Amino acid sequence: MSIALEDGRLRLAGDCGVEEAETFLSMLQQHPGLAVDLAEVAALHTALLQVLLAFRPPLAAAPGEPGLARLLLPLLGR
Amino acid sequence: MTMRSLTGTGMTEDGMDELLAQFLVEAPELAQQLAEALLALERMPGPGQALDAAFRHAHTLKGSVQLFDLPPLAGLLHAAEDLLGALRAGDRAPDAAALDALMAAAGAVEGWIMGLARDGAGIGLPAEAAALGARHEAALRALLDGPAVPAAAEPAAALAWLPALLAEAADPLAEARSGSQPVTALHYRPAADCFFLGDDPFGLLRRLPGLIALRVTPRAAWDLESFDPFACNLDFAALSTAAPEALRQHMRFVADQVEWAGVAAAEPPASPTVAATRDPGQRLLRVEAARIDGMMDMVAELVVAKTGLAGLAREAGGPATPLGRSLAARGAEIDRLVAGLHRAVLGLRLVPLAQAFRRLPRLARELSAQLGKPVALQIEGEEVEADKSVVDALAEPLLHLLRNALDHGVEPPEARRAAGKSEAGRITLSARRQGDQIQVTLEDDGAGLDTAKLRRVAGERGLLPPAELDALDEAAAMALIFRAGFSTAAAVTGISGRGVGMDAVRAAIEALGGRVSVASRPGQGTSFRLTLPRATVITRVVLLRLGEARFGVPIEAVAETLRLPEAAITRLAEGEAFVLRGRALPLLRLSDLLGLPAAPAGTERRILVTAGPAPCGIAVDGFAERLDVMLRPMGGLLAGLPGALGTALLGDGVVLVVLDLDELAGGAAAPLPEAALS
Repeated sequence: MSIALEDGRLRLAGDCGVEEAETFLSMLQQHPGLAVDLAEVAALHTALLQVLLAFRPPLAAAPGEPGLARLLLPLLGR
Repeated sequence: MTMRSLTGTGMTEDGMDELLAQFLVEAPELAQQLAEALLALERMPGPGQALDAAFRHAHTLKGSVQLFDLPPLAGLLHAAEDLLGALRAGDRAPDAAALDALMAAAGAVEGWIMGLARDGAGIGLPAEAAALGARHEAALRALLDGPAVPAAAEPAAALAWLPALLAEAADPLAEARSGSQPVTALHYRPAADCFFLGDDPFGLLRRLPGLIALRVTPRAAWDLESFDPFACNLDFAALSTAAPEALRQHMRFVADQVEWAGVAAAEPPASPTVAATRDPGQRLLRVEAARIDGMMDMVAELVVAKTGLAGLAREAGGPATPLGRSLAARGAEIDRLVAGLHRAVLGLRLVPLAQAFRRLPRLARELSAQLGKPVALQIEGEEVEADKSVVDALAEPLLHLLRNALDHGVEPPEARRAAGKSEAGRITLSARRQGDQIQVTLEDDGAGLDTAKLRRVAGERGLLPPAELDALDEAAAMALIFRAGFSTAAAVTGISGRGVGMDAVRAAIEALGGRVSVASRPGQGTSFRLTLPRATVITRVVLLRLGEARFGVPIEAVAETLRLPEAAITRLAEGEAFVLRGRALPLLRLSDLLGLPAAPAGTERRILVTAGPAPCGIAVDGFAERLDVMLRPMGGLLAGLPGALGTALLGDGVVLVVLDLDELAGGAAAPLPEAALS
């Protein structure tokens, strides 16, 4: 499972594919203001990126993978 | 014009004063931007960003001018706006006649506005403004009926995504350009149902070879109520330094959704990149420079005041006692905080070098016309930031270097053709940051420096004895042009020869704590490199005593301090010398160097040995403590003082002059013959 609610944050991990988009969306909608932890993310599908861009949840942790962090953080305005 | 007429009517004095103050801040910027947009328009005539920008600036400026009683300005801007509007509507072609008239008008507008900003509210437009304005206005109006634009195809509106991408990616783009890497831009508009086809646009672009920038924008506003996670609502734009073939290969499966654009190696000055860095935006706060300088002064005092803590810790018994230890620990913490505060305040004063580069494209244009030498000026790295004082002080030397490059560097077109070069000269101005320093290079592709001629001229002017001139290597011979009293122009021209030579450039750069060097290859061009501190830095100085006065010397300039008995000093015909570890060093007196009375001779001398390749001894009356100070360039009355690096404010309010030993001793200390003391 690559999306989990842990310690009051939404943790995404590993390869987050398009099939996770709906789960991710509904979790964010159910818990507005929930922070998202991307530390363990290896790959992020466009569909998930799109959810992040649309809902702009607070970020608990940036991706640990430097290449992804460099690309993603500016997009999220960090 | 008086204050009364400039403040207009119908408003309270206070409201008007505020408006006026804002106008005087904004109008010079707008006038400058108008002129820049016109320059860009000249480079790329036709409808587009430059024309839109010029129209907008003229319109905005007209609007703010109308608040005040400045009829010539308002009238002129109105006419300019009308003509620009006609160009925009395609009613008239943006030909040379129209652009020349617009630029002349913009020049007049800028001159008047600069005058207003400089002289403050009390002084109005110059007496001749009305007549001059009317003349420009008539010229603009006459052009309104000019030839219409031939019906031309709109320049690819399809590339509408490009400017925003370039603006957002200014930094990586500048970096790629500084490495002369070709840059390709792409726009990828995935189909809305692409996820169902197995596409992952973000994943695809993440693996794009040579990716340096990525911009993602929603195609339509987000509908958060009924959000469809499986419909792609994103557009992607990216920049890459990889080869176009490789990029096309990478994007081959979505080729029908991708648009490509090559990005020019260098952007014209009115590029979106620059516009973006200048756009004040909503989140910026205008603060008077004086307030920040006030903060800076307090930081400078804090830097000095904190040194007192070290003394207190010693008095309290140093590390041996608990009080001494805790004072030392607190001292270390305050050191750290002061350093952080210093950095933060310095950060407030950082401005882009673009401000120093602004006048250059126009100067290049004017000089190029005046001298009959076509030239292309390319500017890179204008987004690099430095302290405002550095950027402000850099403008003048750069103007001079550019004049020099056009006047003496770039050859006339015939000579260039004969040498197998393109007729138009190329001048490149580039800037980059290197740690705490910035490096600005002005390079031309002209004839290069003729060192034989430099030697000859230096000989004729008696700058150095012939034997020494012959002994100079090529690099040292080129450096001759920085010597005071040197000017290579056989005839003083109206352009470069205004009595300010390269020595003035060198002096200005050194006053900023920087240095300048020159490199040149015959037939290929000359390059001047300015290396400058990015900001005022905290400098550790050694305090010297000379009579009652104290002076500072940067600690890097001092190799060691000595106490020598009189007997160890040898008197030579030319002066004095002493031997340090088997090496004979000339001994100078600081009192002589500064033209101050000497102290009566004692039984021993306190001597400072300078660091560097040619050390010498400098006799002083004594040494005091070492201090951290914030060094400022010499300003005001002291600006021309030779031998001084700058000043620093001491804790007791005394202004300390920090000496430039190289410059002071450079002229006086002739190298000793090796045998002198043996």
